[in-house]
Amino acid sequence: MPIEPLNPDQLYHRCDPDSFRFETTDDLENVYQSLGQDRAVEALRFGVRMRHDGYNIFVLGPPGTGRHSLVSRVLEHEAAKIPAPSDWAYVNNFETPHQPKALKFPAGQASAFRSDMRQLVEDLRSAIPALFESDEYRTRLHAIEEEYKDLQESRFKDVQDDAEKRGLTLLRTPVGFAVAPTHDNEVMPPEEFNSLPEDERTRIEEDIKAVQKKLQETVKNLPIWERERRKKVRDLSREMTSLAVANVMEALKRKYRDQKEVRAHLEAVEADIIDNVQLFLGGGGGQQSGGQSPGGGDGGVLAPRGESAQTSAERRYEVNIMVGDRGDGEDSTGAPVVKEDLPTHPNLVGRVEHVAEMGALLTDFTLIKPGALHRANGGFLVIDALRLLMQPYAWETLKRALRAKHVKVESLGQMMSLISTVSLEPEPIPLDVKVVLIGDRSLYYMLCRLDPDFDELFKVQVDFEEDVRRDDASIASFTQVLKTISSEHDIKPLDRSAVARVVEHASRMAEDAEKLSVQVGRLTDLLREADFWAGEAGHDTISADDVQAAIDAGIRRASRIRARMQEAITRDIILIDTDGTKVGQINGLSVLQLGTFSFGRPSRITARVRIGSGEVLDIERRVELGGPIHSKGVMILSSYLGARYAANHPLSLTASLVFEQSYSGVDGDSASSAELYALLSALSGLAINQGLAVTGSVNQYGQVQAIGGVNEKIEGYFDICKARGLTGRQGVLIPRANIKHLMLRHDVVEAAKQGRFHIYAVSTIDEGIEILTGTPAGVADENGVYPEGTVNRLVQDRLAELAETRHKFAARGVDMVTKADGGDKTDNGNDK
Amino acid sequence: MSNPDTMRRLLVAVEASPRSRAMLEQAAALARAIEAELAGLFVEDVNLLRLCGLPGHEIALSSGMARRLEQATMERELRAQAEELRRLLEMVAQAREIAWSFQISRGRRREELLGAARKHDLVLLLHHDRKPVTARYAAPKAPPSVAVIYGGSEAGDDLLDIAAKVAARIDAPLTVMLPNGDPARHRALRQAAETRLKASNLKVGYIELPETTDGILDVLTTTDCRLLLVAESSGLIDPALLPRLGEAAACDVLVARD
Repeated sequence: MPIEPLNPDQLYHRCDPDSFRFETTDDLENVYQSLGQDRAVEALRFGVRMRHDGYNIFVLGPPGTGRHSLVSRVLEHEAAKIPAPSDWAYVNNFETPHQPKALKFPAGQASAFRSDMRQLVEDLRSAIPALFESDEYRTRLHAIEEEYKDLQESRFKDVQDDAEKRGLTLLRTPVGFAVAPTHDNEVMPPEEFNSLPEDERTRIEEDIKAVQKKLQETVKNLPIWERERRKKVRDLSREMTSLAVANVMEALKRKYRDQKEVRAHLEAVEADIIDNVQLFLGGGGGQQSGGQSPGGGDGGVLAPRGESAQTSAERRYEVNIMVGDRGDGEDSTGAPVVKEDLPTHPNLVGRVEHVAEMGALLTDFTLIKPGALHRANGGFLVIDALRLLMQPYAWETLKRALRAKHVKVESLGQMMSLISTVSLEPEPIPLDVKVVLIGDRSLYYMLCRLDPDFDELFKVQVDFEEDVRRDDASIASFTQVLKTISSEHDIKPLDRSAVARVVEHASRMAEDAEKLSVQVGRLTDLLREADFWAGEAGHDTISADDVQAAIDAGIRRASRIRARMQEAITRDIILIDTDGTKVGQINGLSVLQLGTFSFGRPSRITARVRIGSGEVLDIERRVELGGPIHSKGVMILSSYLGARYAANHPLSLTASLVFEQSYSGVDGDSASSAELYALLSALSGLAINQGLAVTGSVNQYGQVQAIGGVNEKIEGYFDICKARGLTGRQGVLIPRANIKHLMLRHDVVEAAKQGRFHIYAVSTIDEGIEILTGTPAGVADENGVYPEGTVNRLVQDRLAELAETRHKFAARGVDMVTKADGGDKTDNGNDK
Repeated sequence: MSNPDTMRRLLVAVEASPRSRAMLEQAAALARAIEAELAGLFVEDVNLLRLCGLPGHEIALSSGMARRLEQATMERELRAQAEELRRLLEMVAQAREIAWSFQISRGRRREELLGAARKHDLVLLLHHDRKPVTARYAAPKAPPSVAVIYGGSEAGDDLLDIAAKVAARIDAPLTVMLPNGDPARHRALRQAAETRLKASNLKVGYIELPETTDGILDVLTTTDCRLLLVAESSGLIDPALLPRLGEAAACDVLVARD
């Protein structure tokens, strides 16, 4: 029974606009739907709620399936139920300034503590100077100064008195003191001294030595007295400051009495203020003005030196908030959901900035900047996996933080031990974060295979579907998705015809009439473009025509190469017959993918046979233009031929198969049925209708199997036929299994309706060869012999003839293989 | 003050000490206030040079170590001190945009100062422990005043003008000290002073000054002033008493010469 072309209704799965109960998408409520992603949503919720270590999440799936938006929605929804995490801040470590201390606060309190500390500095800035200008301080300071002044004066006076008793005087020289004999209250001139009797001179010299000795002792005591004086001044300052600071600090200590670390820091601050009181007085930070300085500490080990004492005090007691630095009115409830678009090492773990001063790079704890891990601590961190892997050491950094369960601000230089200069080593902050990586499937499986840590740290895979079964329920959800997209992206509402057209296009995108693509990204683009064309046409709502305009315009923009290829065929530069008959020649179909655009094109496949040892030569493979899958298909042909037609004698042919005018690689097995038809034609001598093109792979039993890109292939061939004029004898043979994938262009469907172009669905090679040659394939009898006049009989006979010929040659001792390859005695099936 | 059109010259003796800079700033500020040229005098004390030919050693203040004194070393050190002071004077004078000069002499300090004083209109005797005369006093209590001993001569009038100018500049009250030996002269002097200061808007106080040395010193000891101005020609003060005035009042003394 001859195979009939497919009914036009089978070529396109139409969506009936009248099946919708709305006029436009404006009539729909804006309810978010995760179309077809139930498995992903379930996995995501599990991953989010699972609080054990290692249950971080990897969201895998192709781009444009709405991974980011779905992840954001689910995370934000779940995060709102989690209490806000603790705040963290770095403060000065007064004992070891290069190791700043990390302080933990209940959520929202770090900012309050920073304000308190700033207020403290502000208060002390007025309280302390007032203290040091008080009469009490001045009087006591003056008393200390006087005490030591009197002490020095009295000791020098003793020396002076002793000197005077001996007729000597004490003189101040440029660098110290000297003792000299006097005469009439003047230093004795040397000549006068030399004229004195020797015993007198000796006595004076002895006296000078004695006074000098006493003077030396006094001078040597000067630094000791100075130290004592300074200590007394310092003690006085501490005593005065202690009272002022204690008054101000008491309230703070009470406020933070339940927070042990904060209280300890406040005590350290109190002690440090007392030691560095000069920071609250005028003058430069850390400058000492001799005995008048009330304090005695350093002005900040790592603090820039060019700043004033006041700035220095602010920096020294500053609170650098890592987590919890929220602006006024900013929501502090719920766990954070942080997305890091540039996941570099410093952007993840934070960095220590520096300020350049006098050619040196200086830093302190106030210049520590938080990273994404800090901001996401207690919540969720969303990162694009590919971007993460592209940044040097970022992946290792993230894994290390997750394993160690703390985040340590460390530069790459420090981490790699490339820098040995002193820098900050901030105390690590405990980390409790759920990391969500988003990437494509190949990346996930690659990490599984290559990184042993990956399984341990990312135990939850959230796998996104690319399409969903097309039924009434899914179409309703799909419609809701379109509504959400149009609302979120400020797109005009779609009328029911537009929605129907988008549904149909989604099936085409899915390459399956029974499915809908859920590639939200591409659908969003389509709606945006349809919105544009609707605007151009002055429509208030998007209609089916606007959607079609968007689809057509998109294809036109991307189809320059397709047009050039089709032009080459219609101009007979690439030889494709679309009419007539030929032996051993057939039109195969292939799909070219260029970026996001794919299209079909016909290729002439030819087959020639001659006597040989049962080999089907894949010429594409011989010249390394054919891929392994294509070769596999060709090998299946050999097996099919041998098993079906030469089960009882050697397969004694050599056949060659060629993709004509193919100058680049060929792969895939979708042309294997076409190759087999060409081979059968060459063997049987029956001509093939050149108006037909063929696609489909074949197995060893001659069954035709489904292939991909069926729509593009049919349309590609249709375009060539249409350009040359449709004859009504043209069409395409496709595997029957591909019927459900048909979502053909309207012009193809229309031509089929008019009987000008035919789509045949075949299940077996026998069905196909009958259509192609117009000759029955034939069914073998119980002896395996096919009826006369059938394709199979002609092939069987031809192969038997070749076997016999080969046998005769063999009896004459001729090496058939050598001869055959030499090409001297070839048998050309076309000659028949 | 023979010619008011000629710029006054204010002589200040400078010596190396930890407070040299502060004292020079003080002198420069005063010179600026009264629009005078600041003349620094550094005296190389002849007694120090004599030391080098005598037995004994110099005891270094910083280390207490003894070292032999040599003429060349002492002269180098004195020159270094002088150069440092000259540089300091130049710096503070340029900062205040006043004319300045610097002079080095060798001899006894007192004699050299007196000798140099003859060539200058004003001599500033700096007191080592006082606050800078030009600093505004921030404490809430009554600020120390600028005090002037007024004897009524032309030089005395001139000095009164200077005192008023300085007091106005530093926002300090002015204390005028009038000799009380002769009541009629005292009244005349007060009237003259009041007339002269009428337009100044200053807060002016008047104190009777005994004409005995002890009486003068007693008054100065109890007066809280930051600068004392006295004219050499007033006849009220024995020149030998001048150095003691600063000690008694614990302030700088500006002596005006004829």
